[in-house]
Amino acid sequence: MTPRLEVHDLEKVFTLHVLGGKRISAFAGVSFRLHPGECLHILGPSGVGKSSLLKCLYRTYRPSAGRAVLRTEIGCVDLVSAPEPSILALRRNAIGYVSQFFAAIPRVSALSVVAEPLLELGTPPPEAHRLARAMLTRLDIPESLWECYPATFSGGERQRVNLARALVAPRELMLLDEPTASLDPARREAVLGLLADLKRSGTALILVLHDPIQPTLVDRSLVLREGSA
Amino acid sequence: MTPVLSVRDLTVTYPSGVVGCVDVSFDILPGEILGVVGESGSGKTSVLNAIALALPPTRGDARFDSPRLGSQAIFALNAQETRWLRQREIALVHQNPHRALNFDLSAGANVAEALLAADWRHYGRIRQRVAELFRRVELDLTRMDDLPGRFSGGMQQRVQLARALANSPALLLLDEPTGGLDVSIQARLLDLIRELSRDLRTAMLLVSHDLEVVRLLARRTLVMQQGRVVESGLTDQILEDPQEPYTQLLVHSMLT
Amino acid sequence: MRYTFAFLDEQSKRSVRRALLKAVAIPGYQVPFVSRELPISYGWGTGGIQITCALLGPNDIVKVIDQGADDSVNALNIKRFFARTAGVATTTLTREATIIQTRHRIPEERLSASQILVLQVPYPEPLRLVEPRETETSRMHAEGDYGRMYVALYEDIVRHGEITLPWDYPTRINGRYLMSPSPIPRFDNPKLHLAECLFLFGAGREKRVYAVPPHTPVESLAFDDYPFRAESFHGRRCERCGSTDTYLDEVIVDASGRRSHQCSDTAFCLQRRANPALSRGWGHNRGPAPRREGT
Repeated sequence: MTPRLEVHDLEKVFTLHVLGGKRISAFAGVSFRLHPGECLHILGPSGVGKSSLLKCLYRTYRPSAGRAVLRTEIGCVDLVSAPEPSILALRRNAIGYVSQFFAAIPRVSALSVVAEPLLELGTPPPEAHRLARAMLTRLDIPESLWECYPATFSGGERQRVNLARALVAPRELMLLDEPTASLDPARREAVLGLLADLKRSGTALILVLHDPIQPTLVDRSLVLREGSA
Repeated sequence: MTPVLSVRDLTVTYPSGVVGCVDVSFDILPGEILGVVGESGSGKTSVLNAIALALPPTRGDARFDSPRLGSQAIFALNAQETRWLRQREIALVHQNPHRALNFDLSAGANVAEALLAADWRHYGRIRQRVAELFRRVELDLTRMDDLPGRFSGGMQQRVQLARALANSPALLLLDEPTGGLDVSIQARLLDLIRELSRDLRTAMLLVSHDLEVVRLLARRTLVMQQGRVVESGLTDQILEDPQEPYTQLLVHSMLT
Repeated sequence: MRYTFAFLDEQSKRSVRRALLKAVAIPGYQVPFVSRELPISYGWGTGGIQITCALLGPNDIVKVIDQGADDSVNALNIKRFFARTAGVATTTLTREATIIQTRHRIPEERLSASQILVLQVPYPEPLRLVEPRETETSRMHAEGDYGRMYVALYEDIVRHGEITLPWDYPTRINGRYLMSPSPIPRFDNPKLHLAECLFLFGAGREKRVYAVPPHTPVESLAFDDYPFRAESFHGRRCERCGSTDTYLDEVIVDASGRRSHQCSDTAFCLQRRANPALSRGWGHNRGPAPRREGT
């Protein structure tokens, strides 16, 4: 099977001009292949660059070197060098990202937050809201909260809204940075179940997770060490 | 995708010799909000005013592509053509509503003015469209005939928005739209702009000194300093992984 | 004392006539001219007087009215000025006059192709209501950008349910320039449309002249669903001649405060008393005067 994602010698170095040009290496020499329906688990000590790796693939960080070729229905794109409009299109259609830091847009209801990715794809509002409601239910957000602002929610609730938003539209690649961080065990299980469903539908997952590995979920691991993979 | 606006080498030098902006180039894609961020004196306002066709550039080209008019080089138009564009296709929301609205006319009349400039001549239909626009920007219809002076700052900005959107422009220019407003009012207005962007798919150029505003609204951003574009990229990348020294300085000082 | 014919020197008259020719060539366009000193202050009809002086020849017959009346103090003074300085004959009969100078009214009786109506204008700029800057109103005229005038009308409908502008009702001349018809009541606006006579407008203080040549389309601004309407007198008639189709003044008749309505055009009223079938022949009532019962 052709890989969904091929990463070659990906590297990220930060240059801090405010500190006189000091260079900080986040990670280097990362290479791997990921197939549709596969889940890659990124491991390593704290601060080693796991989150940076995901952000580089999402282009929140600018990779310093290397390639990351994504194969989508439309064609191949190197995420490292693709122009911004392409990246924005990919973020709409193909790549999803979840982090534990949810930047809440003030005064938008949980339902609207979750429906937005679908509306951006052109899904008719009634259908978008229906799918959003289904996803919120799946993540155990009670109906009473659907019209409320996530900024007023507990950490766990916010995290689940965040997940709902990221998972509501079909994606070819999902990047997940500690998706279950603030969740209690029961809800954690529910999320992992959702991710398993995603895998089955062909989505490739890259997962940063502190919790013990789920053998059924994770297919391969990548260990990042200080300075290199 | 053809950009709605394609600017190349835009340079504005004022008669006094002061340089507004130099060699600014960018594209705005259909349906996108492009942010332009910078401190005062960065040139962002000169860029905005040049695109708004409010002042002639010293150098540079801008190609504007709208569904209704097709492709045009907007710096090369005569006075009539320029007015046509400004009244129907490229709308500007000013920072200060006092500069943009006529405070001697009712709020509805201010919005109607845009329609009348576009040759609407049926009073009933004008009223209907004004009401529709009021609803769209979440203004109370019962206040349509009130004078703007009786509106809060946030509402005055909404009236400006309603007027700017009256003729369904292909490009909306926003100059510090939330400047001077209370934080909670700002948030509401920004939400509205987001919604409008999504529902109407109007392309927007958003100028702000406030990175928070840009973070909330713009997916791509230009950073300007002393008249030049210092860095441009995805907004989240600019904020989390700024590359240029000035951008790093700006981001670190603004977000702490 | 002997005056130059019609008071102004020939060069001045020539320069006014040049301005008038330009005005006639560009219907509705305000032509600047150099206003001369007259033994009358600005605001009292100097613009109209200069036009009339520039046009008068020894065989002209002049009528001067103010608010429709021949015998108001202002009208009489101006008429006497022409008689004295030009030696021309004067009249109160509209039909007889070659030049009619007027303030605030157009005569009820239709003017012919051999007649000129000179109107006194205090504020020639119709856009001043919505735009104080001259640079901007110039641009608006140059570009035909009259949307803002319509905004004023829109606001009028919002406030009053209809367009209530009583006089100086803005008009579009020949589909091009926006023009103030001077403070005539809107009742008189339709008389400007496709008339046979020449209309000349003079603003002495503002130093502008403009013109509506014969057979020029003149449209009073309105909305598609709020068309232009003249004043209605709600069926009232002139107490003196019984007319129901003329512009009526409301007059307090005696100490008890009793009101009556009388034709503003006094000369026309006199004629109608003598000849009730006399038609107006223009405005919204082209054709013979309506038959009135019991006269």
